[in-house]
Amino acid sequence: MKTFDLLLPPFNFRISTDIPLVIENLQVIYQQQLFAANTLPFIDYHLSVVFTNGLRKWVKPQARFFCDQHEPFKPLNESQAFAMLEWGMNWAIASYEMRHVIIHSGVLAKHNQAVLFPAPPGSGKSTMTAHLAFNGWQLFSDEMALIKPGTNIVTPFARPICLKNQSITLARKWFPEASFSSIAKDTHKGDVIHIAPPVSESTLFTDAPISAIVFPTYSAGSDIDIVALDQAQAMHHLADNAFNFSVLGNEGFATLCHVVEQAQCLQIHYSDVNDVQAFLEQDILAHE
Amino acid sequence: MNKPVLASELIELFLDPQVGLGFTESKWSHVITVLRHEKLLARFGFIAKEAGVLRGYPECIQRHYLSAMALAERHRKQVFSEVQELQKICTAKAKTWLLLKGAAYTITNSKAGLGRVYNDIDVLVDKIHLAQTEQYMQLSGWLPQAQSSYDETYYRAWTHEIPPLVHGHRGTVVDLHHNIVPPVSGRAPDMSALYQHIEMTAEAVPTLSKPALALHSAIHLFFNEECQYGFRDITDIVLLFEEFNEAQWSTFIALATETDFIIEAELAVHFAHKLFQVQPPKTILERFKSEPSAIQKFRYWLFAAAVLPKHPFLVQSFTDTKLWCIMLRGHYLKMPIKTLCYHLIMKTYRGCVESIAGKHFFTPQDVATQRVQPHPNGPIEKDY
Repeated sequence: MKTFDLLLPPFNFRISTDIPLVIENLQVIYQQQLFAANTLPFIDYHLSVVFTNGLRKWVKPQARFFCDQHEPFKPLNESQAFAMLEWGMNWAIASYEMRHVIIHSGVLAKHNQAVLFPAPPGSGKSTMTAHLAFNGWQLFSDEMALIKPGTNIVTPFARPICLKNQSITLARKWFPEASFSSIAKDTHKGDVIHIAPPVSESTLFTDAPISAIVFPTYSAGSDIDIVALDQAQAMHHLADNAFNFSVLGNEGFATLCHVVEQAQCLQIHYSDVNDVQAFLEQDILAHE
Repeated sequence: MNKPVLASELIELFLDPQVGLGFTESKWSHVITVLRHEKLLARFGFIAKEAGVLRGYPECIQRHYLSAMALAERHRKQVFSEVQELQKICTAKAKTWLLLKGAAYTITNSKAGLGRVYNDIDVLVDKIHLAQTEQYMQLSGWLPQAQSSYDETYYRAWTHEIPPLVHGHRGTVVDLHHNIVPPVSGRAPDMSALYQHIEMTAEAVPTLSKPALALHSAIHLFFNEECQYGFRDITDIVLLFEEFNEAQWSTFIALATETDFIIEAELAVHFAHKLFQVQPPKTILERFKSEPSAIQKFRYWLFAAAVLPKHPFLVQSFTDTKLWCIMLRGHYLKMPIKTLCYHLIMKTYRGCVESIAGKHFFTPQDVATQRVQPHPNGPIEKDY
């Protein structure tokens, strides 16, 4: 059993595993953010991914995920063990972290202005996130926006980007220099891969205000089509994508209102991510 | 080996949150993890807040406490609105009904409700009206979950409750009881003795009085085969005791004697006094003045495992063996030996297969990942 400390601002994780595949992927994906156990003084969550015991260790081995002693998921095939750890980290934050309003959303920033991409699976959100992260934007998160209550400030929680199926080949062509995890085959999302985003120490810790909320929809072969949403519509969509809206009550509602009032809210249909990037950089973000 | 955190440190922290100001961050990592596991994070947070020291803790610690407190607060509000619905159903169908345990602590705003989170709302209904109430519950959206036929028989034939009812939309779980211990044990009290101890909240919701709640909590903890959350349960009892006046102490002992649960009551007083420095009135303490008998000493030694935290970070010597003895004893108290043998054989069978073939030998893999992400706005994490 090997144990590591993982620095993932704003959280610290301690991860134990006896699965070689998980160790390899941790090293490939997290590099300088991965430390020997007991390096970080405070640990937010103790996680483990381990082989199932008994005969199952040898016959079609399975991996189990634990957040401390609690096992929220059923076991998965060994090849999906690292993806399971990634989902487990998301699960821990979405279940226990109530000091941020959490929206299921990609978040990227440029010139210290953040853009939220809340969207259901299949909208091309992750592909867009990956494209921007490797083209001069700073990745805050591919999965969740952590918003400070009472403000429109989002805190970075930079994690590997999760790409599915056809996007995997596309990503290998687009970003040949990036670090890729091994492929987790036949998950509930299909084949899945994680890519390490380019991160620097300074950007891991720097908050940014939200200047735009973009609801993307990919439709092949179409021209870019941009529709402005009114605040009520945007608020409705955001609340639909919020993890802990009902727990936070008034505080959550007031925060989302504040976010929507300060941001431009847009629905974008696109087929080429470069069009979206050009539009956001020229028309939405204020220049330095 | 040095334990990263000691049970005594957690008890000190409970009694005096100032102690936490001296913890290192590494100590805190373990304390927070253990408290979350024991379902006590929110409770310790509220206690620290009331003592005015929460803001003195490091920010990363406050964050965990405040998150757990927010979840507990949401839980509390949800219980109030669920109880409103239950009140309509039970008042319409049952002659006598009342709230038990966690829901009763919450709804009476007692200290034991502080940061208390629980899976299910426990309701007691007089046995004559149980079937009618169950039927009306189902019409109102609380549905029984699929059970194995063995479990269904187990509930209906032997226990003091029916299989849990789960609300179709909100996911809230209600356990309908007709007694506080399984009748098959031969120890189930005549409920009319407990009906003498019903109190009404301002909203006219009936619950057991504080002494009866404390006795029920003691019975639940010490007359039972399972004590997974024993550390939380003993803090419930401590918080209830702390609100007792002298008359309530007498009632507590009198009711325990009347229902023949004096052993459980004494264990509760013993641990509350020895571990948590609760000071019962002299007359009560005098019961303990004489040298405890060998069997009493044995019980104190055995049940220390039940009331102390069970997280691997601080497990004490013999804990597993003690917990196994407690489980056997609990089953033995609960069931006649013939029934017990049958039940244990049935339960052991699957356990054996799983320990040889792997914990998830029976678990289908296809639905595994449906639970990967909590649904936005869905019911808050149900497994408290």
